[in-house]
Amino acid sequence: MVDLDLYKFEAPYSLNFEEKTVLMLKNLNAANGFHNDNSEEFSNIVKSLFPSYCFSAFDLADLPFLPVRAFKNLHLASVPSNDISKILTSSGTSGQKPSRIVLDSFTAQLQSKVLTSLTSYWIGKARRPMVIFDFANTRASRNQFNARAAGIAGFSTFGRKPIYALDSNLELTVNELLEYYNGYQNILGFGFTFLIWSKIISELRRKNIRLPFKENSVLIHGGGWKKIEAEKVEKEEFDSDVRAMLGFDRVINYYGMVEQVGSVYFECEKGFFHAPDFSELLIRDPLTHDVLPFGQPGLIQLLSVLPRSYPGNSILTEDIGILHGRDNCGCGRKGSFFQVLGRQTQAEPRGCSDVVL
Amino acid sequence: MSNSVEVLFPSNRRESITDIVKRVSASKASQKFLSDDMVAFIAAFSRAIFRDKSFRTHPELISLASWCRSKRIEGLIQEYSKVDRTLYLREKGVAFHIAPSNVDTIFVYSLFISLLAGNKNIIKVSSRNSEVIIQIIKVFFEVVAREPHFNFIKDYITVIQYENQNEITDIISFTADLRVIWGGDESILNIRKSPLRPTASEVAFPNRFSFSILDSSSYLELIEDDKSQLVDKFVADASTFGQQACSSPRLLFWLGSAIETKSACEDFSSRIQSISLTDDFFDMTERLVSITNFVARNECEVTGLRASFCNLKAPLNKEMIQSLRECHTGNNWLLHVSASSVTDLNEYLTHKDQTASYFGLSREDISNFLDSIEGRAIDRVVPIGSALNFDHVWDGHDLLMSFSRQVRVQR
Repeated sequence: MVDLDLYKFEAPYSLNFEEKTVLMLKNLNAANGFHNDNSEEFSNIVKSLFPSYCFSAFDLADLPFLPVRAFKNLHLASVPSNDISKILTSSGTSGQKPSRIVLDSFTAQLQSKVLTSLTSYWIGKARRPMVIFDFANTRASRNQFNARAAGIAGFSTFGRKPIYALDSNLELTVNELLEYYNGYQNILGFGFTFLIWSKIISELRRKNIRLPFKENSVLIHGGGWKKIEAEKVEKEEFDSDVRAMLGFDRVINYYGMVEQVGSVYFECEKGFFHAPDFSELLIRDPLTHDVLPFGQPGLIQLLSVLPRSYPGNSILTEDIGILHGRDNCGCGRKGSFFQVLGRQTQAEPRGCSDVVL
Repeated sequence: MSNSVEVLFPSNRRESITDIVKRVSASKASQKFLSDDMVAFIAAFSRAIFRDKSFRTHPELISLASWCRSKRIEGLIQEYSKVDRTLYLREKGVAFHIAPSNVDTIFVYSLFISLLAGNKNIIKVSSRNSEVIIQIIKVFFEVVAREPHFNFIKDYITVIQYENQNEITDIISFTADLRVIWGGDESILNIRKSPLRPTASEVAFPNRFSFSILDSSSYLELIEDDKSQLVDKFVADASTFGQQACSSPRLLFWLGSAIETKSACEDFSSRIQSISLTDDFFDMTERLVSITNFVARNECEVTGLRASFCNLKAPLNKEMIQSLRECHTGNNWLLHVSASSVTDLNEYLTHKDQTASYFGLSREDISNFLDSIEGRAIDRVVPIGSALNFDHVWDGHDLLMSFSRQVRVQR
């Protein structure tokens, strides 16, 4: 159903917008037909909220989308429960139900194949010594992954001899880290933005320790800007602290969410997130949901060809972003490039159910 | 001080809850049930709101002020002076009110009825610092400053704020003779973990669900002006407080034949969809989330998804109505269903259902409707346009009676 023959896995930023749109429409119309046949919930939603959609949209803007919170409230699966091999959950902010994303082996393999294609495009194919800026026990059970564990598992295919920067008491393993840094070259670091900022860097600063600078080392980080944004941390400040305190030569940020693992958006040298050939985005007006032109901030809608076991090919997020252009980024890559400004300001928690106590 | 709370009235500072509780319970209560001083204070509050033109931008404050203007309170007094003279009404003592965060004015209604009963009051308001709460507190200070003989009220009203501290709730609860909890099943259960004194009582207002009943042929017979007037009234009922009050209508039962209900419902829907509301009357993201939740289980015909009101239509069934109760979180959307008669609604109602606002029902229809209900459903039946009007009889409780003691005298 997902037609991958026309994608170049070794060059994942090579389709121009017209070429990409044709493939995206073909794949997403087909995917929607599959979800419609296999998920009663999805079918009811499409019939009710997108009644004019006939599984043959000619424009990306006409594809139906689900609000990202639907994955918290509803059980959305397009495969029988026997076929589910893995369940991804969002970390879930306090008091909220986590998202539950069900994967069959086909979707999981596809996600992993695409993540590998994208990551090796940015950092090369070689496996590198890997420092994971997280807790050793974040990887939970065999088939239940939260967003952090899924990220670690995904990027770990590029690492060898992994070492965790925090022990099970959430203490920084300083001595082990120093030893590791001294023993290896070309280190790959991976971690969640918020954790690196609020825990690792602040802890090193408190202890007045800097990890030695390593040439050809690269740190990949993503997620959690929502939390960090409250502390008004600028990207430049974050990057320079990572270089100075953690010793990484290159810092690469990415944008993605547990609802669309695999087809993530890496940040280019010009400071923009880039949609690879496998995914796309639209910016919509938060009130009218009209698609907005380049340069105007609005809700980010994410499109991905990967999801098959769950109807997550088109998701309206609650993040605000600006699409700056398509195929003409200063970095030279094809694809849509954009910025994420942060979370849509949450409506006041209201309703009879919240006497605040 | 871990036990300190923010006091908004009668002072304006942090204070330990132990001190507050001591002060409130030690103060001499000289005000009796329906005392003239209390009535005068409440009337002065109402006048102060009407006097200040800046409050006109807050319709909920105007509703509050008209509910407590002296004429209305006198009517209330009349009602209770008819009470049998072998029954003496007296205060309970200290009342602890826990206000909801969805309807900012509700604590004042609760407080004023309790004042009329002669109680001393500690009120916990939401920490969200809403504009409306700030204005209300300002008026309390103003009234006392303007007419110093109202100084006694400081012994009767203590408004506080604090966050998620069960120890504080414990302390106040164990001092109170009456606890009044406004809103939220979860909050009620949580607050009930704090024990009351053995002699104390509690009135709690859990989550409720409300709907409207419209007679289709009466609607279709209306002339243009009357139709748009009815629509305006309904819109006020549904959109105020973001459609999140317990009595905000979320479901409409259209009564009549298939042809009548279809054409009445279509006319009404297209009118409310084209009404203009300012943007912050609802949150589009929240609306989309809750509608998606609902339609995932119940396929509907949806119009005006992004309009001032969104209308959903589907054939009536019991599971769907239950699912609506669970999914609806406000933000101006409505489910329309049709039924042939008001006596057919019983099987769709539950104990959650509070207000039925109506149009085109006769006194007899209402009486037949209430007689047809089996079990506990429906505590209020009011004309469309009055769904949010506060009444001292609420959720099946006569609040003035519930907030006071009835002393029986036999000769």
